[in-house]
Amino acid sequence: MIKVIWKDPFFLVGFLFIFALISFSFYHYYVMDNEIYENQIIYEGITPVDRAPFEPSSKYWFGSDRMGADLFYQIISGAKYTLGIAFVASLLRIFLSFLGGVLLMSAGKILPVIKGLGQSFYYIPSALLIFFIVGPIISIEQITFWEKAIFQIMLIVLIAVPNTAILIKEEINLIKKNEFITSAKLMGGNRFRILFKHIMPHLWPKLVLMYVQQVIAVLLLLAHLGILGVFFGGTIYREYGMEFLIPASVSNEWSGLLGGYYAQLRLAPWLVFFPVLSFAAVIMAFNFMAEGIKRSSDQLPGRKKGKKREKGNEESVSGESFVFLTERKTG
Amino acid sequence: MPYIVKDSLLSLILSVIGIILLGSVPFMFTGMAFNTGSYVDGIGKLFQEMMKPSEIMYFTGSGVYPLFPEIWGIIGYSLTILFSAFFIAIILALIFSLVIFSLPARLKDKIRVFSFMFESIPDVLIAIGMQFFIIWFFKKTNILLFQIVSLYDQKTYFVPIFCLTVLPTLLILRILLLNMEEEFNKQYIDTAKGKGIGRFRILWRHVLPNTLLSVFHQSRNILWFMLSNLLMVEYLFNIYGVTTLVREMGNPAIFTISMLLLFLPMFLFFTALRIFTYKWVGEK
Repeated sequence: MIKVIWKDPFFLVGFLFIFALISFSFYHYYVMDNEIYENQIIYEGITPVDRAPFEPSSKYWFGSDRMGADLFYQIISGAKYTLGIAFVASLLRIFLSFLGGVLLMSAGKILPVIKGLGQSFYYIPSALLIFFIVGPIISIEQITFWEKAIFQIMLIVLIAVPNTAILIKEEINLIKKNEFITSAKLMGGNRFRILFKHIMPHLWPKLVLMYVQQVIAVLLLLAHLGILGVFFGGTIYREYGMEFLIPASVSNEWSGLLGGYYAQLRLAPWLVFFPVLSFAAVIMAFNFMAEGIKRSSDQLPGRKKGKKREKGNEESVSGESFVFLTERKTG
Repeated sequence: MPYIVKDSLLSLILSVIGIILLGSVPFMFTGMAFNTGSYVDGIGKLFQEMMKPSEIMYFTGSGVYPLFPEIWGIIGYSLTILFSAFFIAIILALIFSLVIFSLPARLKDKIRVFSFMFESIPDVLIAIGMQFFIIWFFKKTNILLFQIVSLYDQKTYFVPIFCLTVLPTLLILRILLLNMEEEFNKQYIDTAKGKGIGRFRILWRHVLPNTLLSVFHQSRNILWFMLSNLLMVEYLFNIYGVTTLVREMGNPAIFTISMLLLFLPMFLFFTALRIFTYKWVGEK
């Protein structure tokens, strides 16, 4: 499957987009020194012609904010953090859910109870739940930024684990219905051997697909939380003019950008529109990847087919063992 | 039938317990520290508060009000928006799928292959885009198409329902398109064709009911997805619905009660769907 994926056009399109975005983000960080062009007033000769926030133009592709900072580079610089959070959080989600799924296999009679309790997540919007739990904590001043960030990421991870674990458990059950599992059991393979040697090769492609889907879910959640004003990138207050202090995101992380600029929706709509659009573009790219994975795993159900054939060549039925009855030289 | 009732009852009880457990999570943290003891106490406290619903208060800009009976109006409003959007989405998706299926085969296949892109549009984009459009239209023509922001007593319906309808329509359309194609390859369709039944009649009488079933199966996911849309729409259009109430109060008792009241109608709806499909196809 892994090899086939790279030939799928859908997967490639999505992957290249994400890869280019992250590379550019790191290029901007290391080579361009993370510099974001800031200029509050545009002069023509010596007469000021325009002042920030600037509308999107050929100079400011995505416009600029009130400080005159170029939004395009803010988004580029924030991409690595947002995508990083999404990657890490979904990896943890899948990892914990996998452990949970394996544990659930031996749950026995309490399984329906766990399933029922997990259902309650389906009736609460997840962004609201996180907002509700994080709300009182985020306003405490003594807690450092990193503690808050880790706490939020932990919540984002945990909120999806119960239902994903049940999902993975059901996938495992589906694989377990195959005959080769029965034969492996009869040959005396213990549970862990069966899990790792016989189930995992079939589960991998599904886990990869789930991972990509979880990345999408986390990105959506981040966008929602950003709009609701739960920041991830850390907030600093910057002086605007003489007397105002406006909140700004330290790391230019996208949900932070969204939350920070949301108040200016009427004044400078592009400040909200472009971060949302970048979320949309990234989610679209991941959807392309997910579609590519789906298509290539449809083509090739078992993963190790190719390998096994190479190995098993000499053991497979050789030509001579099959003879037509008429040619058979038995009396 | 008795199985369904028993199973539904079990999941009803468990879901209610689950929501109460989730509602008391804030008690679990004192500051950042994890505290199991206070969590258990918190559940007890939550119960006590919920036993006396008449004493729970909520406050708006204009003052403090008792939660009951005010909450019925708020919940009713949110549910009206949610469910009307859901049903409109199903109807629209049906119409679109019929239209797409009567398109030439090449175009139809193109749409089907790229239908996964429907899922990529974030709900926030649609709500914000809608706001921009209304403002832009207002600036150009001086006609305010719809009331963008609803005040406390005013209830706008059209715009929020519209925003909430777009994505589920695309989602259901995708489910329908994928399943219809599958259904079309089944043998009974060949039989029907062989008997000389027209293409549209086959689609309408045979394929559509069977694919609708898969929409029913997915309805829980669709409605859950719509719930987070509802959160965004209520926030962006400043609608005083149930998610706004929860968001602004941040009180565990109000959270739990609102979520339970949101849960019950949805749950009844799913159970009704289940019984309906059971009567229809005998499927549990």
